[in-house]
Amino acid sequence: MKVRKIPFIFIIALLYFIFSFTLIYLKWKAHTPSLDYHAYVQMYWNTANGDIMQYNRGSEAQYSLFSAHFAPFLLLIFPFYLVVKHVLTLYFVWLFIISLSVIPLYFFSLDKLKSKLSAYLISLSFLVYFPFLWTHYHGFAEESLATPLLFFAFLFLDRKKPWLYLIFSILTLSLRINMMLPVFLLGLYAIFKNKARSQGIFICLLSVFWLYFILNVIYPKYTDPGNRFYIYGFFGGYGNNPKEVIINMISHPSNLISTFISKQKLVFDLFGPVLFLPFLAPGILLIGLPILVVNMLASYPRLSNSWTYYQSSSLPFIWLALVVTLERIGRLWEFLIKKFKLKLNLKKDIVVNFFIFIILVTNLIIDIYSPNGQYLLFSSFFNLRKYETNFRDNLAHKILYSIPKTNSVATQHSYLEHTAERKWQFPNENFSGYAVDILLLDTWASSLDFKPVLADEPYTKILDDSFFFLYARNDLVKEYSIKEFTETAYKNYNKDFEYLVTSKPEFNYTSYSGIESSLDIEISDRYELAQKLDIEKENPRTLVIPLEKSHISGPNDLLKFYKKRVSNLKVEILEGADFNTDAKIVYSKIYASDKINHKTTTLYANLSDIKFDSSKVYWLKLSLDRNKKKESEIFNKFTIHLTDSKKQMETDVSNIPGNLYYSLDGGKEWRLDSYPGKDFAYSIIYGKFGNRTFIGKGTPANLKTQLEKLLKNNSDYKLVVVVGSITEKL
Amino acid sequence: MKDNVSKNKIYYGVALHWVIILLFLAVFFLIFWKLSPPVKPIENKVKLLIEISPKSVDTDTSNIIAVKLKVENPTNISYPSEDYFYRVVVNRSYPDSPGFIIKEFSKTLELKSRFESEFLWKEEYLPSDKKLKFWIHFNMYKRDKNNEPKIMSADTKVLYEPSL
Repeated sequence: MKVRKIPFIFIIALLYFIFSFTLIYLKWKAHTPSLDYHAYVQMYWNTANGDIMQYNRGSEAQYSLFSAHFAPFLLLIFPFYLVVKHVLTLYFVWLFIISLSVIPLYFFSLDKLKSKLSAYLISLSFLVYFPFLWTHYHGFAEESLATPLLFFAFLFLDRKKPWLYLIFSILTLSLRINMMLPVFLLGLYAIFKNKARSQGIFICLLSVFWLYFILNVIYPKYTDPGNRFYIYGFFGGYGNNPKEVIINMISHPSNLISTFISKQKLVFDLFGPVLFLPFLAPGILLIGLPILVVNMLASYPRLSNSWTYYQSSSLPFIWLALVVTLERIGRLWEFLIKKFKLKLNLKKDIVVNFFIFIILVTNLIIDIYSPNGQYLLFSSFFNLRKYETNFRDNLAHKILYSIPKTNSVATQHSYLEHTAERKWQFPNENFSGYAVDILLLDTWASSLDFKPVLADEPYTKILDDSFFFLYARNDLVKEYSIKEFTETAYKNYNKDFEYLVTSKPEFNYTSYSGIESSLDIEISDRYELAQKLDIEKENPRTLVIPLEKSHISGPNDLLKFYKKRVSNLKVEILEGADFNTDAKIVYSKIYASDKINHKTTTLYANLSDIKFDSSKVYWLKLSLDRNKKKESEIFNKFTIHLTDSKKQMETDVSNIPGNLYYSLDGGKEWRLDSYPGKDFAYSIIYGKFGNRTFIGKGTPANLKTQLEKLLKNNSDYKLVVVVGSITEKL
Repeated sequence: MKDNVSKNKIYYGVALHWVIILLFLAVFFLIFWKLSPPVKPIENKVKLLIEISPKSVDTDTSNIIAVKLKVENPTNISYPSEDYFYRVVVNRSYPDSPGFIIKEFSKTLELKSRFESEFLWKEEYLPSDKKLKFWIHFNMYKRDKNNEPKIMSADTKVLYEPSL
């Protein structure tokens, strides 16, 4: 049997897919938010439940995606979600299709340059071309798929496979309304280049009809009467409808020119890495240019940013034009050799490859030395913090997936992708006044959009652990003794429905120095910290310290693998009026640096063995254990967080000296006035060591079993909070 | 002769391609032309009515609000209490948006029947922020096992309106 050899470019595409999906998976697991993905997951969830492409856009109403973007392509790949109902399914399919981009580019390069090496070098250069990376690493949008689809459409047109060209053109149209522009122009190209004239005419007509259909059927149907169409907002600076926009553009040409010039960075970002060579093949480049011009003229600034997906439909034509330019350079070289009878032993392949090599190196330099390359492991701007996970991520996961999907949830952007599979979800920043069922807050979420629950809001805190705060709306909260719930009360709840429950161990109480982060400072071989501990009750059992390992220089510590980092974090608790003179060490522990990563983690100091005396003063001291053996070794640093002192918050008097001492010279001289009004962020848990708040979900019968087991194993759990309404029988 | 056969094959192949594509596009546009708007209208087959007294509340004082509910079933279908239930919800938006539940109950609604219910509610929900408008909704839902219950009918009144 003859085995057909698979071209290596397929392996490259597969490897790229594995790399990109792994990166996205790690980011998702680390609760690093991506732009808009949560909204698309919610659309798929709602579609699976009968509401086609609906999402609540962070508001109290449901919208269809079609009111903003007519993207039937998403319905085409929706069956994958039905087969594997997972939050990451959409990312998986989407990245797989995007990874295929390199295949048509390779074959087109091979057709034109007749050299496998050139085709591979072009393909590799494209995979490190930062505008392409930003189409799919920054966030999710169906428009990113324009890159592979248009690459395929062009390749099939060029290879005289008109039906495949036609199919890929239709698929591209199904991404978004603006895709009609490159698809229409590609149709014109097909007509004028006599490649697939009848299909080209058909595609041109279809593009125009597609535009007409969206503007006259889809948008009016999905937009409330009186409101302007969503897409007109992109040009809101010019007017509210196409007529006003066009009149304003024509009547104010100077504004238009100045807007265009102000966005010239995009031109350098897109064409700089390819040495502006595509301009030498204007026939192809012109297909992708008009949409760039439209983006640069738009009022919405993100449209002209290279760190988005809006240029996805231009990228294929930039790179196809580059390949044609390189082919022309090769031909020109041969012509010159012949014409001037030069005796140079330099074949055209070498000349072409020289140019491609320069392009590859240029792209690599951009990736390594500028933030443009921050999604690549070898970039000095690759930020480990976005991909690392620690105990707090596991805890977040446990809390997030304990909330039944029938509960509406508000939380920070970091967690929205994990709460998306439900009808209602809200970013915490929009929270005020919303009657959401559950609210999850995290002081140290990577998205930083912490907004505390105000005292007059009708919410009850049902869990706090390691600076996570879970609230439920008062009308849904009912507290029972576990015995009462498991014997009788569980029967009051709907037997088919899932409910969230939490159970706090008896005497369990947590105090916080503050819950909002206000400043970051470092503990290093030079800087140390001492903080007076505010012990509110007897028998504190655990001190919780949020901190993270600092980067050595720049965000990517992976590049400094050859440098040995030494020294760990020393945590001490001192007893005495003055920690620096007469204090006694009552607790001391070294926390290994490899157990702390670059994102906020929480250290737990067991205080159970310390005999605290309420008449005495206690201090927390943080420093490094300095044990450098060689000069080449470098000291670790740890970033710690400060919070506004409770004292200051209560009295609102500025410049009150706090209880935080900071030494700038390795503990030789301590200063109290370095951070007035600030406290080191920490919390103290009171109660028995090892007891945490229990959180679970299930049907009433299932909860009964879980809680009976809990009660049997630990008698400290006595009360349970059940979140959900009870139906009274009239 | 052979050439003619192959030309005919090509001709029919091309024609078939066009037919398939045109048919596909015709069905595609027809589906999206016919697709109903996104927000499903509430059926309101069962007539609900909510009345509150006083008719609007003051956020500065503690309010006791008398809520009167009327349910009328003009249909020939009965709605058993195991499958259907009612909620009185307060929020600043639509009947099916998340809201503060002030009462939830079930009662079998026989065909062509009606019932009324009254209760007092001590208002404890409206925030001191007086800029928001609040509504009170009386909704009827159909249970759907462990899925979100489906809203069947609703009636809405203004609970609090900020003064300009």
